[in-house]
Amino acid sequence: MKNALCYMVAAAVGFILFAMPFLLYGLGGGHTHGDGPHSDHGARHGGQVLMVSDYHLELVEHPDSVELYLSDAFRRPLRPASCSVEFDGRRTAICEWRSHRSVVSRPIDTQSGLYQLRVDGGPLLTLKFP
Amino acid sequence: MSSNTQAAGRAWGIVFALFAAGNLANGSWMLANPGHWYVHLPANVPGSGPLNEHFVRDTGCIFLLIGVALAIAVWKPRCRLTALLFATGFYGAHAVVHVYDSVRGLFPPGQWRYDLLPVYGTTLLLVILTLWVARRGRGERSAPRA
Repeated sequence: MKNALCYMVAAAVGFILFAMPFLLYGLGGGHTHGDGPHSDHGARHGGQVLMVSDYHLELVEHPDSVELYLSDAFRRPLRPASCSVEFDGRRTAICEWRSHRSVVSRPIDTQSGLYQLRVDGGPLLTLKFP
Repeated sequence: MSSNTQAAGRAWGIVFALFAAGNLANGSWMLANPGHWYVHLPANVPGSGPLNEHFVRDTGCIFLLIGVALAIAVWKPRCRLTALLFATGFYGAHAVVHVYDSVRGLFPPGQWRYDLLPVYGTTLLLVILTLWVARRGRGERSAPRA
């Protein structure tokens, strides 16, 4: 009886492990988007997603900083070759790359920003927000 | 050897055999027909990007090797911990890549929900089994010989 239970548990665990190589790719998980470019404009970091040319830029605003997430038409993350922001037409700040996003400090009383990001091997993207 | 020990050994053999079969099947499929695997795997593989047959075959090699290691471990119990460490290393690293790609936004929001059981849950199960096998092996080595 005990041995039968042992075999049943082994079979159940074995079945889960048998399926594991196939489960790795997610049953229903989207990963990125199979429907082609520009099929997803949803925010992934709680910010606002804006289109600049053929690229997506998600801005996450904090009182004293802005996080920038640049991605291509398929929403694949990109690291910009350069990034700077001109706040209120007078103060320019250079972005800092932190782990997987660009971060720029901004003065607390800022009203607007002119964002300039150079795509590595690609165009210079310019966006004024808001 | 007691009948309980023999039964436990056979039960572990079942676990290893099924795990090996899954890896061998997936690896063989990836190597033999990457395009068919890409389209027909019951998952959204095309959602992760366009087909690259070479990379599918590269990954297929890993699954095949893990499958071979686990299959050897079915017949050679002494190899079980090594085979399981090999498999857990790969699946664990894969889970870490999923965490990283979720954090940096390669995956859409909500991917955590889809990955919870298929990726993280199964990897956790594998880690537990590896620790179990390691502990069992240590116990057998330290047991007084008759």
